[in-house]
Amino acid sequence: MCGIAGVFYKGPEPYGPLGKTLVDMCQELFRRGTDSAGFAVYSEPKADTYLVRVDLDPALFSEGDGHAVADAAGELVRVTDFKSAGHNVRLEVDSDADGKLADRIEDRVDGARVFSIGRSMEIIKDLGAADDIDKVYHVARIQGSHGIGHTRMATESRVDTAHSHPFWARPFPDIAVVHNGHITNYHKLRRHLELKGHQFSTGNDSEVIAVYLADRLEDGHSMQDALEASVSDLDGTFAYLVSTKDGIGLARDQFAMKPLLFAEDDELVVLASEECAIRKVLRDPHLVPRELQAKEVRSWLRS
Amino acid sequence: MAQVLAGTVVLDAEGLSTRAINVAIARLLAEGATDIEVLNVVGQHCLAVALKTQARIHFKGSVGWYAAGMNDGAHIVIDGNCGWGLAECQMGGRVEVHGNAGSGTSVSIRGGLVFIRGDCGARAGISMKGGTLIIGGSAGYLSGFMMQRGTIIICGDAADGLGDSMYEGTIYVGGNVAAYGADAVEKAPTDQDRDFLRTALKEFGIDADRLDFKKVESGRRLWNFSKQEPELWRSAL
Repeated sequence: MCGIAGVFYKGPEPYGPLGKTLVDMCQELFRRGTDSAGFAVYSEPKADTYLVRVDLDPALFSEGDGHAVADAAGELVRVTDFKSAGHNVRLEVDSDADGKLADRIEDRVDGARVFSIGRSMEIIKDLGAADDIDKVYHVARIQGSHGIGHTRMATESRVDTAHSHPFWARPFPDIAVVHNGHITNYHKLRRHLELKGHQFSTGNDSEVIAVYLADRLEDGHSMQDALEASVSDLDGTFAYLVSTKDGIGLARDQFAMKPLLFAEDDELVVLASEECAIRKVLRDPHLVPRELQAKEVRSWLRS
Repeated sequence: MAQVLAGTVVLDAEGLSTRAINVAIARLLAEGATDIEVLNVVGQHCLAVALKTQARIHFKGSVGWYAAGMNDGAHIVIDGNCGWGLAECQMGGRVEVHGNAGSGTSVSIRGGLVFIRGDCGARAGISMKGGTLIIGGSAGYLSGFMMQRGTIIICGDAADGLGDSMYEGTIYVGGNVAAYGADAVEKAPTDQDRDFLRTALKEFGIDADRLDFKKVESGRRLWNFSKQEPELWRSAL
């Protein structure tokens, strides 16, 4: 059991209280996943800027440390901003060095793990509840256009920050996935994607969904096509949300084993495993959330 | 917290946990309340479970998972939606949801009535052992699976696997069936069936005569294992 949540603001000025909304929803879903929580948030992109989020091993780094990460990044790209909170470093840089930046940081700095690189996306995740994470990383202050969140109850892989959701589709900027369920053909799919040259950062089955979708999108498929193909290519149980710079997509397995609802009006779309999370942020009683059918896929994208 | 209004006791659930709401309902019932309105519910789980009473409990909003479980006699009305596992193992009484329902609605009920005004998720009415489930909208994947007795009426469409491996009982479908499950057999409804549908749906404002109902029952070919029909068993299992 895990909890997933998503928010997508519509309209020409699609920026709202994204962080606060996702934290509130994930806190409401705490009982579905008490091990860890995390968020992929999309804020307004700045010209010539990539956002980098790096997690540092607390055994090797004390809080506020992490300038080594900026130094390593500085070998390849220009670092324009450096911030540190908890055991997390946030950089603003002028490029992702054609996908090489994450590898360089991890090669140079022992105990560093790159959680995300994107033009508008940042992944913030840690052990504990959504509220605890917000206290350290101030997720609720983030204004954004769309994002996804997760509360994790680990079943298949270890409980640590790296195995928490969302998963970045490394090295593709701005693509992340949150998943509730279990991918039973994980090893086969992973081998197939590794043969195509993709790399994996963890042993978590959900990471394969992110890489699988990024691979499809890179091959020129539309989001809708990638989602539809995933329903037959992924074996097991799943309700997942994928986010890209353009918006959010979702899919549900053929047995409808994992819950997922959405509610939508003219201004926003909210998605969650349970209605209580939707009601927490959307109290308009006239909006009726709907549970997705088996094999259903949907996407909300800005063109 | 609770106030009496012309025979109806109003309970404001704003900010209350599942336990606090259920304890308040139990206390009001013990004090003799027969009609309770619960305001400001926002999808809390496990509300109004295991009630052995004739009282009416009316939730003005959406409830979460496992609402009205093991109901035995109560009349529970939900103005919004409900999550998974509504009225599981209901023994008797009546549950009405005037929005949509999640998956596993009315599973294993033995008696009483469950009515969903909108759509149901997957596995509605599986393993029913009696009672009636009426769905005003559509039913999701594998509804009526291994049903043993009782009646399901689906006014809208049914998704894949309808009535899979049902033993007995009857399913009526007013819309389209995406695909029948193993050994679920479509039959023509009789005049008696039509009378029953007319009566059952009338009180919910649904005109049975405007829908072209199909009747679905067990083909009973899975009742006893037979080596002579390997294909049937391969597809059923």
